Amino acid sequence: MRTRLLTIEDDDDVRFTLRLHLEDEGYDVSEAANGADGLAAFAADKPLLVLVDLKLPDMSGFDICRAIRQTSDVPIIVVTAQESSFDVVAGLEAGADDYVTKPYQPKELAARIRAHLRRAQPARSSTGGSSRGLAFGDVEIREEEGRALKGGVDLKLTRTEFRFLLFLAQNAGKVFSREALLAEVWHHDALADGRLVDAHVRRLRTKVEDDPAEPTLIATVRGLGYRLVPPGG
Amino acid sequence: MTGHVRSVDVGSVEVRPSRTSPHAPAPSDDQGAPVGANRRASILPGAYLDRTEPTPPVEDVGELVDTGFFRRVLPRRLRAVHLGLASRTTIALALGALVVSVIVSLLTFVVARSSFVAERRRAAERLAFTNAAEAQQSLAGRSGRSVSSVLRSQHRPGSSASLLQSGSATYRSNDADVTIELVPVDLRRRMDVSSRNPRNDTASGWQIARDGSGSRLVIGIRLPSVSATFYEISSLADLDGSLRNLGRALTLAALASTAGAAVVGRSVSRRVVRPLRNVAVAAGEIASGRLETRLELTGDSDLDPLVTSFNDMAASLQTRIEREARFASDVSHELRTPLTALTAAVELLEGGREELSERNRKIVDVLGNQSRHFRRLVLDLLEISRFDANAAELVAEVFDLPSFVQQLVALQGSTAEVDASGLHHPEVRLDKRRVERIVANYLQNAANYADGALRVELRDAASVPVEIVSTSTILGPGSDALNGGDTPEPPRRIVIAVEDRGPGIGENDRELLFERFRRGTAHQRGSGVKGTGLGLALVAAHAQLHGGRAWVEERPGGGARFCAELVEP
Repeated sequence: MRTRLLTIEDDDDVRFTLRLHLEDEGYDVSEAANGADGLAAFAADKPLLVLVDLKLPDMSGFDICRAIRQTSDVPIIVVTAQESSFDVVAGLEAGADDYVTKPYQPKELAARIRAHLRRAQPARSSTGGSSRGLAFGDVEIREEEGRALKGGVDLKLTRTEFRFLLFLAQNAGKVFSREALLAEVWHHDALADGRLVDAHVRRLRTKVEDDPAEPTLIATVRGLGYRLVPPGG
Repeated sequence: MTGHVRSVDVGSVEVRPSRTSPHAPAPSDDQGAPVGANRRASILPGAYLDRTEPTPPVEDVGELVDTGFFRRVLPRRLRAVHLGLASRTTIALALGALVVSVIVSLLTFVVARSSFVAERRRAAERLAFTNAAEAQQSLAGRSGRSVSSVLRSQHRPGSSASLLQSGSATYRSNDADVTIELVPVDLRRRMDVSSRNPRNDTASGWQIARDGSGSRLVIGIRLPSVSATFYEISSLADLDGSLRNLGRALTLAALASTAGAAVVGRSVSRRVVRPLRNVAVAAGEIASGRLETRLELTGDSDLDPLVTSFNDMAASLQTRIEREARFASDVSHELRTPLTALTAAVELLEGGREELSERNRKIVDVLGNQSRHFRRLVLDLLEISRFDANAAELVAEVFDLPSFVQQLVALQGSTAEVDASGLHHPEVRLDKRRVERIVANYLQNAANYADGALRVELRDAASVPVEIVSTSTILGPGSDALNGGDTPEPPRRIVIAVEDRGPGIGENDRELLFERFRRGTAHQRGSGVKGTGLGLALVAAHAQLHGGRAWVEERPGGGARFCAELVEP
């Protein structure tokens, strides 16, 4: 069965050419021209990845991100026509995993999609053999289940958040630069935007930390990057 | 000394209109007028013209108040201080008050003195005529008393004395130092009874004499019937004292009114200037981007028009800037969407290139080249418009510069060698996207015009350039440029240099290259699609946003070396 993607984009020509490109890459593509249709298609078609334009006739891409995040952890890539910090950061804060700026090049977009799907897969198809839970205080990471719990309650992390937390946890104590994290967690090249990492750290902290303003687990190392603080260190 | 008349009060010399024959006033000594005129001349511009440049200075054309007066009156040294409006108003008011009060004081003094003197003279004359008549009786031998005893017994104030000259004999009212020397020579000559001078036909005359012991009023009365002249001499010492006190009081009053005017001028001009200061502050706020800044209405009917029109200006400025920003954002959005569809469609066509006829394949190639060029052009225009709109923001992050540049070189398909041996440590804190644009544009430029890049050099700048040091000194303590007083370590400066294989850039073109839509002469030969003409201008803008600069120099051994210096924020 081919992987199904959903594109929510109001411009017919952009949507059409994008579909052809994605079909050439071997994906099944569902389409929607506005937010309402997009959410309906998301519920009906259960895509493994969603591409959302931030500017839609009926609602903003941010609203769609938030609506999808209510029920799902699939990777979301927002498509923006603005390079302003506000759009990018707001999109990521709304729950997106990544963003691309118009006019994107189809090949570049396809590479991003591949990266997101590739790292989304292992968590799914992980064999239960080496089921080894990682625990940091009351935060427990169950790699084979692809979820994390805090005080026994599911944290409802997105795939990207989970991968991020897992990577930090598997390398607890080590400091990683944004670049390194982009390469390891997103499989992005050097040109990717470090704000992706910052936005995800903020999102993770609101879910994982007791007090997101005073993080004790995911620490910022000034000028270098981030690290996960192992117990007692 | 007492007897010698040293000076005569010139202004008071006048011949008293006689009852016997009206007499034309003595020609007045009009020396005073030229003296005054000269003094005035000394404060006219002429006095300073020889010290100024041949052409009048024009640097203060835009000032609110005509400073011509001060420019003319104040010496150049003082003018160099560049007094503010408030100070100039204060000085003008104080000077005005000084002039007015000096004039009023002088007038008061002159009027008071002449009326004092006139009153004293009338009293003295009355006394003198009475006494002279008595003395005449006695001299004629009709009173049966000696002239001296008559003079001595006569009623007169203590400060007065009289003297009767008859031929060679002199009679006086007291023995002491009353001599004919006390009578001014001029009056003596006029009162001389033996003279046949037609001018000397007056019955009496008076004169004020002044010497070391003070001034005195001398009244002379001719007694032709007995061939004698009677002089009444009265001291004006008490009058002198009163006038001195009056002068002192008037001087004090002049000084006080000058000082008062200065104080009033200061406070008034401060009050007048304060709204201007508020306007200046508000204008500064607006200039620094706080477009919503407005002035509050003061309730002053003279100032509110200024406030209103300032606020109107600020509002229309804000509307315009917001409209432009919205327009730029809309344009950006409206351009990007069709561009996305266009490039995607062309790429799809290119994907099926092999299925096309030779003719259509060429057409698709043109479409592909031009759409990529067009995309780059739009992106560069949008980028540069963000700089123009001051919307460019620096997003600094720490990254490994050599490995990043290595990836960019590979991505560009360049064979350039990356040399980071001059870099103290590989991690830098810069705006990664802008570093990418700088390196990519330099590499593209080398590929377009100079057969590709040879070498990319990354190094720490040797030392802080001199001009930056002087800039921060000018800005002074407390400015951001100093990065706080407690961190003496200067920010790290990194140079990225791309060396190419081309023929190098002529001295004259080196600056021009970084201007928009300026391209090297190589471009004119080229037929295919090349740079957008904005690449190097953008490099310069990115470098400036980093607090640095971009330039091109000669590579040792030929070719050009394009450099960008970036400062870590």
